[in-house]
Amino acid sequence: MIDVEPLIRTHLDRLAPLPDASTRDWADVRRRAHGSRPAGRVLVLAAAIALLAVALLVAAPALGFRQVADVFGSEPSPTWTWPEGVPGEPIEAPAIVRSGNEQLHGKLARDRVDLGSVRQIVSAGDGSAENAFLAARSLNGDVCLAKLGGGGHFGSLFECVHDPPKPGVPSSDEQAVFLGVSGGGHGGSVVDYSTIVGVARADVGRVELELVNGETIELPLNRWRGFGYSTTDASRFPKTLSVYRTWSSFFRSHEKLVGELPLQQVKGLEPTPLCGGVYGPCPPGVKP
Amino acid sequence: MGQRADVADLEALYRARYRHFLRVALLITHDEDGAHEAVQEGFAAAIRSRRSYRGEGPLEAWVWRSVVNAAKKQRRRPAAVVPHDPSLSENGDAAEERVVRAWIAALPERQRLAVYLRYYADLDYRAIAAVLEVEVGTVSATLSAAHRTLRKEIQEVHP
Repeated sequence: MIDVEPLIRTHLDRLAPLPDASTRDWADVRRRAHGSRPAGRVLVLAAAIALLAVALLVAAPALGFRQVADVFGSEPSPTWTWPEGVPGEPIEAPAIVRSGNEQLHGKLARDRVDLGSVRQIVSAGDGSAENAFLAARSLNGDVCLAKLGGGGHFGSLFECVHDPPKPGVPSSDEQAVFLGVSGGGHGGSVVDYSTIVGVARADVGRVELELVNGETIELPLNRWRGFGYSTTDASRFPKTLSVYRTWSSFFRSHEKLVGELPLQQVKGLEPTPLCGGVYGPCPPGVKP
Repeated sequence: MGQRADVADLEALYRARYRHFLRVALLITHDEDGAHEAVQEGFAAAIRSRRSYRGEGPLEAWVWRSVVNAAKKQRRRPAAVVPHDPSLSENGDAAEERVVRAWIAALPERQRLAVYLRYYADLDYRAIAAVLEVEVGTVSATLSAAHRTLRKEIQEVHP
């Protein structure tokens, strides 16, 4: 059993050191405490209320007897349910999944799955760059997700999602997506491929990827809300993933950013082009 | 500490712990100006409502709640999504730090706040419970869940 507390203390200070105190200003706190609400904020609030009133007046004839929820649209609640229960194409459970399942004992035993229910939601990339997301039914009936990387040579344990969330059960229900990110190459200092696979929550309607070259592309969701992306082109390596909740109302379509991940900062990897051999000379400091 | 909060107590807390409040606010807002605004507004709100403090818990926890709520209002960006990263084991050095960074980004908001308050604000479970307005047992379960997640991630890079 790893004692993670010392590890957390060691790394957290490095990740977010104490800022300097140059902005400390107690007099400003006192002024705020004794001042009234800023006039600007009052004006904005009043304008917003007035606009809403006008909008209701204008829209009222068109609305007829529609339910309020139909008119304004209901923002969907986060949920991990799939209509078919366990999502994905049935597959035979890979060996790494079987051995991982056997290792779940004690409290983790609740994440053990029925190996006969294993399905593949999505995969992307080829060979060692291949990543995939699997789903399976836990012995308690929950849907559980696991990722495979390195062409199936390594993977995570299954982690179950719950609808509704189960009190006291640690879960990832609040996450908008599960994500597997893989970057690697043929040498220790070279990153010549990047692969992403993910599974989105039911309220997520759009997943967008900003690339290193500045281009933004949409990653289509498959029927099980899986998505994937893989490239060996360094200029098209992923930079930021944005996840949007979408819904519709009488007036228009709505979307709301519910997750954003700066991929390269998290990974700490810099894209490096393929080099050496048929690819040509390597940049300084990069081994083929 | 008495049964009420004096402005002098709040000022002493502000002067002693400003940087800690600012750091956590920064982690919530992702924005330096927003973080400073949150700390200033959080303390200003604490002064305004100091008579509602009955001394049921530590004064600092009571102020943390005010600052955390102010920081949530200032937040411009949503919480990060999950970075599960199978390639970490390929990349050797600093893998642990990457795992911890990814783990923080991946935590659900309540778990992440509990971690910030535990390790950046050095609050005990009772104080964290007061800030998050939950039972102490919930804090314990929340942090245990967070630790379990990190343990799994570490075991992936150091099986």
